[in-house]
Amino acid sequence: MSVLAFAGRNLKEIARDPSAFLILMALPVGLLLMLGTIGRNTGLSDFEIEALAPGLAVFSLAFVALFGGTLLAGDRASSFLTRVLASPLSTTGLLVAYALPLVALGLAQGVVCFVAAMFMGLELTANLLLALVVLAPSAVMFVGIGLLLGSALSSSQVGAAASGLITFATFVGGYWMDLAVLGDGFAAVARMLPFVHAADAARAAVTGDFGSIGGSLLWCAGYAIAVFALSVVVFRRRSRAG
Amino acid sequence: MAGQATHGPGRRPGGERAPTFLPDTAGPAIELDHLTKSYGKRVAVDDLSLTVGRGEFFGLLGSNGAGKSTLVRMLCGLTAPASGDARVLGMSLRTDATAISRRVNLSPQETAVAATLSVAETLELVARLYGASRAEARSRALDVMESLRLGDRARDRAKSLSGGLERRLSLGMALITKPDVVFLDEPTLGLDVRSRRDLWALLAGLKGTTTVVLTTHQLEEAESLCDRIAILRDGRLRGVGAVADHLASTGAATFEDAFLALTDEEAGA
Repeated sequence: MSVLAFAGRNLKEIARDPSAFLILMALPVGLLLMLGTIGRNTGLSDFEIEALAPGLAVFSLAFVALFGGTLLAGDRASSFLTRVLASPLSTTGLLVAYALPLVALGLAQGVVCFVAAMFMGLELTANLLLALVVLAPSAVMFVGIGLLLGSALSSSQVGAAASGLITFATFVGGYWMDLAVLGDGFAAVARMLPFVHAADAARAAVTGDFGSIGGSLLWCAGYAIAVFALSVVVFRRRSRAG
Repeated sequence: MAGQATHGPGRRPGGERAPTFLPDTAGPAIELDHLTKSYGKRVAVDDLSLTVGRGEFFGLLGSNGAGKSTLVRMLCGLTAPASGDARVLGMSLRTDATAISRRVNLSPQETAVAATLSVAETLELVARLYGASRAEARSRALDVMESLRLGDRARDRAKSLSGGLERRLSLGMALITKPDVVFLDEPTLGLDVRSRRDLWALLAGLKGTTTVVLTTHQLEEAESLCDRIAILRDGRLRGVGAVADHLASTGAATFEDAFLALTDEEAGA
């Protein structure tokens, strides 16, 4: 009950931030429109709506990480979190309370992306529902990264680090370009990271390539568990250090 | 009368502070047993042992770096002691921290409100963090807002409140959970004299029902509210007792002189 209560507070904090709608919802749609236009003008397959929409839905989760990390870092800097930590709510429960609304926002973001993509020619099928389900582990992973940043860094540092994450993910995520253009070396490094697998899983769901989903999802789930566990450890250590 | 401290709420005309806390039949509310905490080479709390009775209004005084906040953080379970133990309401800090957290609360020095939540939402959130249902949290929030005269600001965002109202809200957040022990860190910091007196009157109402541990730099505040006061320096206990006890032990005419004598660097070891 206390986890849900605090999750409600975190949702309100983000929802009542005027920039949240712009960055979390309007920006991904704007990117979709621009990149979709590039696709139509160039005919590049990477920019076809069936590949672009799921890629962008995953990429947009990086902005959710930014908001999550900023919220947690900001709370850490204020005594408000001191009050919450003094309550019976456990450290793990606290981080789950941050994660729940962020994951929900990430999935809502995916819905907005797919709806916008339907106006650009993406066919409405049951596969889109599957794609949203497949987005969930990726959302948990990005949220975990955001919470790890928020646990370890100050508010201003989180902004810089999240910007770095967004830029880095742009290149290694394969969201709108084939990893082959990076060359074998960089592509191999990118395949060790979860970002391209998250995009691959979402694309496989949208196109109905169900056999390809499992392997990609395992990468995302593994990173999600590891990152979230690490954020609990780091947060607990930082908060106990006083 | 010579040496008479300034009157505050609850003081007898003769200047004596009548003990108002409950007899220690249920065991002390807080019992420190050689509690120690270090941050690297700096010893913040040094082998501290003392007791606080149930329902007592207990003051913690000391200069900056005396160890007051560190002690409160340990007792609230926010940081672990390096050695020693403490029992809060009979429960060990080392083994029963979660159980303790259900029965204590604190109001930090920074008012620490949730800026974008309304006054009512903030109070309900704290109640629910401590296990209250939605309906119970709403009911308690109404009671607290009424008793702290925040009812007309129920829907206002916490960040829109003046300093005095924010302090009242902070106090409300500490009391809405009906704690057996509440820690108040500089509850009147930054308030004007009228707001400070108002808050003192509210705090005095807690006597006998809630064990209050008050940390403050304001000697007048400690004199006016506290049944007993512990004076710390460099993490060590320099003296504990009622104001009259400190005056007697130091031979000082005023509590300020007694405080300065007890925290004198040369009087140290």
